[in-house]
Amino acid sequence: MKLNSKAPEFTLTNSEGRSVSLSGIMAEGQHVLLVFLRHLG
Amino acid sequence: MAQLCARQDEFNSAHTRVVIVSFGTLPAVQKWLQETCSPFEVLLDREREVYRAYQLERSLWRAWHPRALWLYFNRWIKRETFYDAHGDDTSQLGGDFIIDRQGVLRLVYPSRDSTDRPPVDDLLAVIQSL
Repeated sequence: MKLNSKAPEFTLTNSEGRSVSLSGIMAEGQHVLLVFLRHLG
Repeated sequence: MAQLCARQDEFNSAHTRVVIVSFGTLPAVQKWLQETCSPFEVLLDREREVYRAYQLERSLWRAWHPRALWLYFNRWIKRETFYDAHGDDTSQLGGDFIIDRQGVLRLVYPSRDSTDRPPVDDLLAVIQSL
């Protein structure tokens, strides 16, 4: 994953069952901090 | 995560949406949200397709690095909560990414081990430089 490259697009479901995409967040004009968790144990 | 939660106002002020991605089950994620940090949105990636798209690695050795074992030992000493991994892959590593409004990666930080996260000050410094 290279710095200054285009972030991979994704669409995932949130904990309330709503579909959320990266492009959708971008459309709101915000930066994004994506935090990938390890396992919850 | 507690540090991120404590400083959520700073991310809001910097027009940054903090999004958590987890491959945990929905019940496990809901329990985690209740007991840790609820203000941020959590997205579920059970199949870890997005983990793979962002090239986050699996490594049993790095996930169970002595630093991680020390962390768990300290949590056990303090009688802190342990979450059931529900049979999930405990070798999967996490990571942090900052994406600007144009969809460009401005921070790429795959965790070296399961305790490794960038300092919140560093995250905010990148965001404030955009």
